[in-house]
Amino acid sequence: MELTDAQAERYSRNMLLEEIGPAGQEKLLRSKVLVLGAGGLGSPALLYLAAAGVGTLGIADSDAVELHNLQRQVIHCTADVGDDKVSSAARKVAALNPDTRVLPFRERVRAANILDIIAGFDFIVDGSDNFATKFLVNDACFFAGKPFSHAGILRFLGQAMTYVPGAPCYRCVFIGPPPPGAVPSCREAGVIGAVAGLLGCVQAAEAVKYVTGAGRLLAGRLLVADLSEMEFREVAISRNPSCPLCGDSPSITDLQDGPAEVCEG
Amino acid sequence: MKPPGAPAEIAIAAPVIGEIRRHAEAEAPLEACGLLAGNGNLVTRAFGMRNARVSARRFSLDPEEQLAVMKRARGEGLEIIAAYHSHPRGRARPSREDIRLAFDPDLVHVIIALAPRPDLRAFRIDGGDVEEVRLAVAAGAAAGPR
Repeated sequence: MELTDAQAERYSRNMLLEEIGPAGQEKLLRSKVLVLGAGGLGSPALLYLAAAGVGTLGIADSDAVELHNLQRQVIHCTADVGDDKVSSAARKVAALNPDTRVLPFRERVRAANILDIIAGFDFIVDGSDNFATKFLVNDACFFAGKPFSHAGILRFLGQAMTYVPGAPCYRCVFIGPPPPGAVPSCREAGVIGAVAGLLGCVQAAEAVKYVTGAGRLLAGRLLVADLSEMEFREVAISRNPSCPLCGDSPSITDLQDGPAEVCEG
Repeated sequence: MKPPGAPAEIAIAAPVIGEIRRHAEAEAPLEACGLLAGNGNLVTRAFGMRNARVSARRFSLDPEEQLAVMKRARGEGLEIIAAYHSHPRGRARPSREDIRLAFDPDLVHVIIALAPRPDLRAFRIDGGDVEEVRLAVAAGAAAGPR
């Protein structure tokens, strides 16, 4: 792959990095990254991945843009309210970087379709907004042997971890969805938009690192950010031999849809 | 293998803090107690237990219930990281009694105060030595807002 002059200029700040260089940029241009959810996490992830020159970006979301999304879902603009999120996000990606091809999935990811959706991608960014989907993404990526980035946000808090085959999975740590009522509902919780932005950028950085082989992934550790105190910490996590998914005698052997969440925003 | 002694810092998933608070409020004016489990130094699960002392000033875990909880946690592949109890009235600091009765130097002791000022802190207690443990709050298995 020979970079054009325009590409050499566009990606010069990537290629100046010793860990990336022209070879890493070519990997990015050939890479396929799927972003599940074009929301608070997915918005910055999509923008930074498109800007970095990821060649193929999958965008999966079944929702339309609503006014209350705009507080944090920065890929969508006021004029996009009412449009579907995939189209709205795809327009921004196309405007930002003509090198990036978008594969749209205007559907909700479910046990029945997720393996088909993730199949063609090198890395998955989980920007979903509910735990049923977060556990489903984890399980599907484990079964398919795909690496993915998890992030969760709540109020001023954010957390992220990266799964690669062999590393601890999301269920090694969180086992299963919390009991009903243990977690504030989406309507009650709220979040600072910049927390979503920060964690979405962490996810984009993990995808770029995975594709180019640069740096050290957030595998086997959970990044914990508290923006109310502006504290960033890291917690070591390990494989759980009793993990219901990837443990020694797993009880989860196929994909299941979690209980539907009643979540009106 | 974990080095001996309680860790100098732990993280607790936010929903677990909610569970501890609700348990403490439900038991008040009596002290509430339980065990906290998770992966490494990240607490992801609270096991609310009964206060065998049925007291507003002190607590002790029921040994049989403690064994049952430890077995349940192990079954889920979780490590017991901390013990918690409430101070329905008073500071989130170990009392003299708490220090005297701290039964396991490998456990972090989480104390939630309800009144006059709600607070939650963690300590390691070894013999008579008390040291505050740094506490981070993780989003946990949290869903983002739509």
